[in-house]
Amino acid sequence: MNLRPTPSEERWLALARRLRRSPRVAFFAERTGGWRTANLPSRCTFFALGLVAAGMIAIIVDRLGPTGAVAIAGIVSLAIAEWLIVNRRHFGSGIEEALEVAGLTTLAYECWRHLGSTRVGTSESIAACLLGAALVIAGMRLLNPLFTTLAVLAFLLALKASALAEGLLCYSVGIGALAAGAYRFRRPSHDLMLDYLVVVMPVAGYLWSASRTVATDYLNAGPAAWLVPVCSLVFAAAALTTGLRRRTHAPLVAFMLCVACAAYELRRLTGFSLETRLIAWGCVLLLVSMTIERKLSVARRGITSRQLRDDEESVGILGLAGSATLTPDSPPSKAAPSFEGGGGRFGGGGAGSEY
Amino acid sequence: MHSLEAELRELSAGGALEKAAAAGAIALERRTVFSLFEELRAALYAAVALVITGVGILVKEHLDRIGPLTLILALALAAVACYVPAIRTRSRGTARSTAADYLLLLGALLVSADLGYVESQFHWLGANWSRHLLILTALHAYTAYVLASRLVLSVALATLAGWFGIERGPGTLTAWHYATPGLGVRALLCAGVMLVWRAIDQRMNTARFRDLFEHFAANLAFWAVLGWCSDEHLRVVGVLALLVLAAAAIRKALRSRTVAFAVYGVGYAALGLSLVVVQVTHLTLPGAALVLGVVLTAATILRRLHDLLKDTRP
Repeated sequence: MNLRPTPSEERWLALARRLRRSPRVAFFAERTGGWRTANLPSRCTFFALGLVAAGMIAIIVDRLGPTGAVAIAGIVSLAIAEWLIVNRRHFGSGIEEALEVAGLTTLAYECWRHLGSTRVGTSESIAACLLGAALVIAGMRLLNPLFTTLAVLAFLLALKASALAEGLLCYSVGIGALAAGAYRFRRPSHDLMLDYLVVVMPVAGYLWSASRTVATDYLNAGPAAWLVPVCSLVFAAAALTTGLRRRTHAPLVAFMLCVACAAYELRRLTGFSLETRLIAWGCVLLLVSMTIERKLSVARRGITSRQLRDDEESVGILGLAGSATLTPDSPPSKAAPSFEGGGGRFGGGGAGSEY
Repeated sequence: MHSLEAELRELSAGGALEKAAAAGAIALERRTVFSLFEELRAALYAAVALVITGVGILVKEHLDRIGPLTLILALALAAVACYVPAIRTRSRGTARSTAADYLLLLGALLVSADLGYVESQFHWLGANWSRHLLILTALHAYTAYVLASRLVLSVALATLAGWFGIERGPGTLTAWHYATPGLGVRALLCAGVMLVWRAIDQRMNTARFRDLFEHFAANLAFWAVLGWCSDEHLRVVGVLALLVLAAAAIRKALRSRTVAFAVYGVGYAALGLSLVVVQVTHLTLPGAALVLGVVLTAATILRRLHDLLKDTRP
């Protein structure tokens, strides 16, 4: 009885996904051990369905009214998830992930109800610790990078340190993950866990350490205040260097996000209005991207801007949805107050504006 | 880091992967070739989003200071500048770069902002102000076909939806936004127009944009009937329409081997039916059991469809 795919089976599953082949067709079937996965849109749908199912199980058990209903609901969800994994051989399918994580967090909640009430003042820390434990168990059991990353965030939350200390800890974890990425793993999922940490931790570090109320006036701020944007920029530099040296994507994504965080943090430095900054930074980004694309249209030391793999179906849909989202759908409201009538902005199809 | 080079060699040696494809895939695994395409595409999208948001605020906040004619002219010039690289590559007969693609998208969005602003200033269309959206739809559609741009066509379709009165934004994520019968009909009508357009596209344009129309139409139609499902008076019609649409989407998925339509068909149907059960039963014990049944059935159907579509893919 296999509790999860062996490293070899997982590698073949990853290869099938990379080549857009089904793991159940010839050649792959005998190497993937009969494990079933799902592509991203299906996995997200299964995950949502799994969460609803876990919620309904909790409601049914609660309505039936036995003592310890919450714990029973958690155990039932967990049992179904394990049945799906062991008997139906689901791996990264979404539904077993939702049921497993819902079951474990429900059990963590039940533990917190017992422990939290007895230790006044540390209730939040205990809750975060238990949530972290539930997520780390789910993450390691299912080899799910999202759960392991959330677990790290929950454990950091449990420390209840100062904002700056929490921020620096996040950056440290990110740097650690960046360094550990050099190791050659057998399992692709272990790589993915580190990739998630590399991308998420610096952003979390920035969000933790940045001012929550008003933008810092860096022209009149002391050296300590500069630590926030400097940390982002230092991590960005480290990520860019690592990404280009190792030729991996996660550090490059982290670099882009860190630069965005630093730019946002230093928004008051220029004294320009919001629209001027948006247009100026947008134009700069456009020009930089165009220059890089042009320079790398012919590969330089193997690095190119050309597309080497076909888009997945979901990526194409996301791209089109993104451009549709940006489309302006009404004239500027200030200039046209008459369009605001009736609580809606649209006439549409010859109708009035009474929506 | 991990590398699947050994598996690729085994695959190639077993004859399950052509030599050329295997060589390309191995180069990617070894990282002798590395593409920044995805990063650049994300950066270009972010750049377009920043500029168009900035322009939106500029138009809204500084009408008095800048003056309408200056603003209209400036936006028009900027839009023309964005169209130039795409027009040049077309006249040369060369392939357009991704950057030029996104620049063209920015141009189309600037034209939309400009024309919207013109209409709000001069009221040329009077009470029929929303017709400027129809003019924009035609203009973007023409550009999309002449310059073969999927991104601009998606702007055209979004503008068409705007003319039908379908608003985008966080508020529309809830089906309840469509709960008025009229708006549901409009959304369905819009989906119908898109499907007619698709049929014309199939005849005239060798169906280059076919999937684009289908994705837009499917999502619009499903959100429309979900709104009906959440309305007390239209619930029965909503559920029937939902089931018909779900069947059509699944049929489409099976015929075109597209998993996304199976996800639409099963996902939206499960959401709609669960919504109805929750509203009717207020989640009593039988209600919760029924929702659980709906969800588990949906998961089973989607799993089977997913396996079927993946297994039979060439």
